[in-house]
Amino acid sequence: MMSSTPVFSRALSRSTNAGAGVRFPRPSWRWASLPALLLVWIAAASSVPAYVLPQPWDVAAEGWRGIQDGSLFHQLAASLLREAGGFGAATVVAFALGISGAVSRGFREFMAPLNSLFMSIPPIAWAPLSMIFFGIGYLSIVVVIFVAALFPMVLALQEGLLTIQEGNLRAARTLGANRFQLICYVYLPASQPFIIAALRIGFSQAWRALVAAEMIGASQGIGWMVAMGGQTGNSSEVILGISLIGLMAWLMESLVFRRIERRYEGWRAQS
Amino acid sequence: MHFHPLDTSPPVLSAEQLGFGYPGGGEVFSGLSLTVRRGEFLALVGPSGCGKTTLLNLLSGFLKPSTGSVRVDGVEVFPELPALGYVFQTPNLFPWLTVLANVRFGLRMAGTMPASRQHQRAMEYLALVGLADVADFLPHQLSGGMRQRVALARALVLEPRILLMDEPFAALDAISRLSMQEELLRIWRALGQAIIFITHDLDEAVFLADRVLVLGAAPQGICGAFDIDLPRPRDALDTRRSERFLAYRAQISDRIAALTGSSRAISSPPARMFAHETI
Ligand SMILES: Nc1ncnc2c1ncn2[C@@H]1O[C@H](COP(=O)(O)OP(=O)(O)OP(=O)(O)O)[C@@H](O)[C@H]1O
Ligand SMILES: [Mg+2]
Repeated sequence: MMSSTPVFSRALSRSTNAGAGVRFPRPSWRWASLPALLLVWIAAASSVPAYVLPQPWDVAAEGWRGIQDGSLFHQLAASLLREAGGFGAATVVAFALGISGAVSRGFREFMAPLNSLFMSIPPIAWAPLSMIFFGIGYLSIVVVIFVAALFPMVLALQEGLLTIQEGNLRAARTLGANRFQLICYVYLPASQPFIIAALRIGFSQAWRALVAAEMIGASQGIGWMVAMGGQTGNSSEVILGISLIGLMAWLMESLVFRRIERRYEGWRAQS
Repeated sequence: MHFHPLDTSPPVLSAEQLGFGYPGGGEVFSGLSLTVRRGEFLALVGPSGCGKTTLLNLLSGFLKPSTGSVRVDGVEVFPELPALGYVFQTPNLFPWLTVLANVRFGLRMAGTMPASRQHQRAMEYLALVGLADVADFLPHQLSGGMRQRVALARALVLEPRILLMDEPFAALDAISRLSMQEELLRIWRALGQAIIFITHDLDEAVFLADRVLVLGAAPQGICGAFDIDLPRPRDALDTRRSERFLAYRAQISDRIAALTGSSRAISSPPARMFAHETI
């Protein structure tokens, strides 16, 4: 079984015991991509005026100011609150619809055209309608996020649940599992990889829609901050906003979803 | 042998006048009756599509017969019945659980033992199938034969009085199949449960069983019963070389040939060791 030792140190320790078949670590260039981007940015920024493209340190200074006067946290909190509302609601409904779809063929057939219809419309297209219905504010944006996250999640959950093997269910029953135990000890663990995948898709779809919706109709939030920066010609604020949007998505991805997903890699590939 | 020919104790499993047909299909069984004695090793052979798997699903309660009933120790059968164990054609291990946790699954569901005792019991049965050293592996890290042995341990740990096995070794190569057969007989001798063993392989049926039932194409049902009076313990090679083994096999394959109307009735079986009569 594999330990969690990083690839590099494992390869090193192997190369020290001078046996046959010493392998050297394949160099990875992952680390170089962000510094390279930074260099290109600096080079580009040096050749145009700062109000068009500011230097990275100007953006960092803008960020520092935002941290000190608390405005950055304020915007971030506003965005995260909407994300939580829309994504949370979408998760609850997606579970209900996804499970129903997996259990009932009729329901699945009924939902299929709706799924493809809603998935083919970019969620931000709903924003104006949502604002007419609910006015400009928390609710109208949450509704857009909800629509954006719901349908991809329903589909991912439903397809995942459908792949649970009939054989596993039958085996569990002959081993004495009752209905409730089937749900707890077979359906739930067997579907964990799909649940994680669905949450991950839902979260990123919601996040994209959130930023877009905030740029159209909000008075606070990261998306609004970017839009305002654009209108007032503050390019530092725009780039700061963009960086934050990317950073939040990346943090969620690598700190939450990747970690959980890694636990299932082993058996998922097989079954 | 685990029973006496004059054994009058009630059968551990009895199926009476079973009728069954899939919706939209023809009858698979009509009026099929079958009893299994306590501790008996019963093998069922029959051509593909004759309803062997269907019969096991009826015997285990996954399917409900349209007429008649199946009783295990006098109780109407259902899949969760503790007296019943089932080893499927594919191992069907839970891929998210370790080998040990797979074997322990049934004990956990029953919840009648403290966790430490469950663990200990599961380890004992893993050792019985010779897999104690891979207890912490995940199923995908095992070979096909090892997985099938885990499936066997997982069913046996609940100490069922009757074990249903649906072509459990069909996916294995000839060599590991022979050793699995011997291993199964060893475990059966140690535990003494009744086994209903389905197979395509006449050779396997005669080698393992106390009694071989021949199923005809649907809806003929049982078309022949053969008591296999070979001494135990049986040896993978010596038993197969014995006159009586060959005679039993010839007798059964003649019956099958007569059933299918085949002209190539095999009255003198080939002497090669690994020749499997497959129907
Ligand atoms: N779910 C089903 N719906 C309709 N017909 C079925 C179904 N399962 C099996 N049958 C039919 O019932 C008959 C018996 O099938 P069964 O699977 O029991 O055969 P078998 O003896 O186990 O065959 P094999 O040796 O190939 O496994 C076949 O004719 C098959 O077409
Ligand atoms: Mg079958």
